[in-house]
Amino acid sequence: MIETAFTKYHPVVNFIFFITAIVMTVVIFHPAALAVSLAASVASAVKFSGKKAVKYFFAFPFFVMILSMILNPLFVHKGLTVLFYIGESPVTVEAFAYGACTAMMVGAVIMWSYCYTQIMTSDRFMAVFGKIAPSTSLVFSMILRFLPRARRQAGKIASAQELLFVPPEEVAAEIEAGAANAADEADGQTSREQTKTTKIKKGMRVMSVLTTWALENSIDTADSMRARGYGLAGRTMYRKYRARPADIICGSLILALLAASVWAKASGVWDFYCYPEIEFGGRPVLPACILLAAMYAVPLVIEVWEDIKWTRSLSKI
Amino acid sequence: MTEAAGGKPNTKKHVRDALLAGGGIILSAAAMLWAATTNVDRGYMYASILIMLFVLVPFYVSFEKDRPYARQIVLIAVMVTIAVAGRAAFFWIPQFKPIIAVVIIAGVAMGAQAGFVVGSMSAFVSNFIFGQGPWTPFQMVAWGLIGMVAGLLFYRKMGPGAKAPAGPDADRQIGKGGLAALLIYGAVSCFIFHGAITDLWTALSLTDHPTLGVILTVYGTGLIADAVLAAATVIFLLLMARPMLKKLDRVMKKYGMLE
Amino acid sequence: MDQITVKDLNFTYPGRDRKALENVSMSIGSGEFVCLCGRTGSGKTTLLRSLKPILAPHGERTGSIRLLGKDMDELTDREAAARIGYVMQNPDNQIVTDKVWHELAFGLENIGMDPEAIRVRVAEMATFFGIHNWFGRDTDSLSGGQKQMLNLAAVMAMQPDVLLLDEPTASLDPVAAVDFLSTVSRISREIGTTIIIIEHRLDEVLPRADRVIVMDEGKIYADGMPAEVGLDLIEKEMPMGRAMPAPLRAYAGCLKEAGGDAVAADEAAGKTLKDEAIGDAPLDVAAGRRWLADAMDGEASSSGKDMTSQETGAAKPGREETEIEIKDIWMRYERNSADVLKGLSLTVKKGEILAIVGGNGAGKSTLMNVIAGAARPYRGKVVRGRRPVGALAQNPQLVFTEDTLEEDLKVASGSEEEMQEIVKKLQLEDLLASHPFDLSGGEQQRAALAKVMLAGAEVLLLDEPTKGLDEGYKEIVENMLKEFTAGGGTVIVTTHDVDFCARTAGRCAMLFDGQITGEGPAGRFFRGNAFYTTAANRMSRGITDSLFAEEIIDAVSEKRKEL
Repeated sequence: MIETAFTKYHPVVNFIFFITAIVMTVVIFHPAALAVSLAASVASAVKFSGKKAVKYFFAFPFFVMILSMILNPLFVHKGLTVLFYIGESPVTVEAFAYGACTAMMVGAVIMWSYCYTQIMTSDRFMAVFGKIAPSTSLVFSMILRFLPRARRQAGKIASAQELLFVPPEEVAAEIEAGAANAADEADGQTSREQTKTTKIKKGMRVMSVLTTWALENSIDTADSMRARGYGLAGRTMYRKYRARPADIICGSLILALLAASVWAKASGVWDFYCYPEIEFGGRPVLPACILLAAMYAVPLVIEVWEDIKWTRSLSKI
Repeated sequence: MTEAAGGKPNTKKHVRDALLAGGGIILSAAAMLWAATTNVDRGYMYASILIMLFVLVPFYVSFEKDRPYARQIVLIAVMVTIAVAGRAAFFWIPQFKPIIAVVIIAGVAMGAQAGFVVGSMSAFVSNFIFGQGPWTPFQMVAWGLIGMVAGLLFYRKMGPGAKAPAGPDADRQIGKGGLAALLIYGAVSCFIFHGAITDLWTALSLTDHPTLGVILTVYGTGLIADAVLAAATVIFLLLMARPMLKKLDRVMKKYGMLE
Repeated sequence: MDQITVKDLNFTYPGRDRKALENVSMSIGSGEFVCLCGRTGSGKTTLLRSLKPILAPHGERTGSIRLLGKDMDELTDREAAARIGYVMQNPDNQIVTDKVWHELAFGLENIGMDPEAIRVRVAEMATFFGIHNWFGRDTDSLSGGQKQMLNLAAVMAMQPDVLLLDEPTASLDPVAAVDFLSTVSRISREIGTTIIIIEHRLDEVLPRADRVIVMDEGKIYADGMPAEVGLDLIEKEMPMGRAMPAPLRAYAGCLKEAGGDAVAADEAAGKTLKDEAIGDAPLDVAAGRRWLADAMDGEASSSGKDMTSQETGAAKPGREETEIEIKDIWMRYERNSADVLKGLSLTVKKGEILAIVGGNGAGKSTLMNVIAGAARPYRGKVVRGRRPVGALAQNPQLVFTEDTLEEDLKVASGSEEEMQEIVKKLQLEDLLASHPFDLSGGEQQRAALAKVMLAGAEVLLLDEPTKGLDEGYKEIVENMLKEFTAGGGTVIVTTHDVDFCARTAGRCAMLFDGQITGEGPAGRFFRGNAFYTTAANRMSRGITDSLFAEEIIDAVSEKRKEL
């Protein structure tokens, strides 16, 4: 969870932006557009969460991109410009180009999703969906409430069950192991040797107790909901976030840029075909590309603008 | 007060859920047909997105329209929690994930609609923790279908309030035959719903016209993981399906959901 | 005007013969602060839940309940939800959503309040309850005390006329409990909400309550002013009398000892014994001190004679065998986290009951884990005898695995006879067929204790073993532990229950900031503390220096004899 300039805007604005960005990345299949989207998504991710975003990029989407670049030319043999043959199958430039575009698309979508995860925390998500899907978003909120508790409980159950009776052999084993490792171990967890079957059996027992515990205690939760009037007609939603004029301006700007890009796509500016030969639509792409880039860069611009304002106000102090 | 979904088997709802599922399948088939015949670039990818919407939207709309009771909401949230947190119980064995088994049990105990919601929510929430991605909606559909089909197949026979089989298994909700059917379904669903849908749709989005080669490669790379998941699901269902259904039965009785 | 009127209420749970409530009649006026008490199973919770329509138990009911001037059935769902607030025992279970702000708003959303109005109300509540500092946090990150405070605030946000609380502090530590109860009494004073609270911590509640209602076996046994009812219970030697605050017990005991003389003197002055007695009766430590100083003529304990000899059940110093020896251990959970135990040393002797006391986060649970072998210090040494160890976690729900208590205990126990014996001792006979989760908190605690004792360990580690137990059962557990150590077993307990420690433990050790800061025979240990000691000791500090109400009574009657 992070607090940035972009999170100061209403969650609906954030949500509209991410959906727009992802949809446009998927719809406009053109090397220039995809390159812009990929660059903007990586830059936004880095702006939002710094080094972590770089690490993530190289740990995951990077590999998917490489996979996509290799996979397509290996299996798709369409295209006229043959590079070489593997056995009897031709490997073509067109298939490579297509694979590269797909790679950029997948990479950009994954990185936009990453940005989405950083910005759209649970309560921001709820602010968008609470009104449209009140029951679903309540379920979601409750799961987030129960989950950390249940995970901790699973650990507690496991240790409580283990410790109910520790036979003397194990106490002794502990002492010896403790004496041997006490100096260099700081993890504090026991590491008794166990076979896989006993491990699974123990897991099942924990799971069984966890299930009983979660189900039985849930009765209280349902009672607590009903005691506070859940189920009465005319439920309202507390709005943690309020729409300000800036939100309306920003949201409209994103939608306007979206409309422009959709128009450009519909009018064929973004036409691009790989097969049988690489072929562009023939019309100049630059103006449409600038509009598209402006759309993708909305959060970046907001962040940078905030940075500038902040430095200025500091210099005044 | 009777609480329909998630309680006593309700024919009207059962039929509606089946219709919803059927409608989704017909629309999905139409989308695939369109993708196969159209010359729109990357037709399969658009079709897969459409299919995702055809399946997800109707179920959540019907769930919202039902205005579920506090108890149903809590029960669904608890089952998702158990499904996702279950991994913590098996932290010694990293590959062992009980999540699909719990989704199936939820479908059996609470019916198709609740099964779908538990399944898709489990996918959404586990992705919420480990990071969302373009695969999230597909996984939601896959796991949702696992829970839903479990509900359609087994809810009326094995769900709470269903008659216990005669003979030596009389004190249990599921007889030997029932358990065997459940295990088979568990294994199959790991390969078909989980494996095929999540992996295949990854393949669909990676290339334009998915050839058999691409499909098999992607599916093949996932096969070992799917097999491990299936094994975990079968073992878990074998050992836990009966006790967990019994626990659910007890709580639903306490809730007064079976009256 | 009466806000709650119950008339001839009878209630039977389905499938039971005995009535859970029998001819219960009471009326509670607007703004009253009522404490509802009684032993486990006396029908308190059934009565309280009957007053909240949506939580009212299902079963056979006769008689009438009028709430807020209407018959209970005439109350709309909306009124019942908003105007009658209910706080339950378990702080965790009641929280519905993942964010503090959402939890505060939850009830208001349900009754369809306008979003702008919710905003104002939530802000107001957060400020009143001191929640504004953690308003944006995840509910999961709160402490137990904060969680319960949030539950109270979330209920109060709906501005109820009546607030019902069912053992709200049962799972809180003493500091959080006092904090919570003072907030409840602040609500009563500043807002005037009618309050009915079920509470075991009578020391804390009775001085604040206007009225106390005592239930016994489904009937109302007594109903009146706290001092009056308390004196009556003690006089009649009712089991509930033992749960009364120590100052009141000491006072009542002395009154009884004084017997005839005092009565005669009072009658001469034209008053009945009872009136004056009630007027003077101390409910809290401060009043108790004033009374005791008077009774002892302000004389400070000159004697101090039995200060060292009077060790309750203390292990006699000598050459005992050592059970566990902990030498200079350091412990942390993660490589980069802070140390939890910092050079801690402790010796546990064979056959003793050692109590480890200390605040939350002092490292008690970690120390217990180290002793049990579940956690390993990274520096230092733990030397253990080769006797099996059994540990009982703080939450008894963690240990149950089966669907009935009987099966559950069978899993743990070696022989049927042994099981029957323990079951009998802990009075679990009637509960054997029940599901462990159907038991009340105190019953679960006893059942878990039975389970760990049946497992056959010779060294027992118990975390808060008296949590949720009423006085009667506490005594049973105390005797059991004493018996267990007499038979050669060793017991280590961590607890917040000072009275339990003082009565049961041979030795006490205070854990603070990862180290043992004080240690000694229980009697000396508590007499040496000014704050962390029994109420009777706080009350008699510098006067009689007693640990228990009984000792004060003895001291006072001795003094009277001298005169």
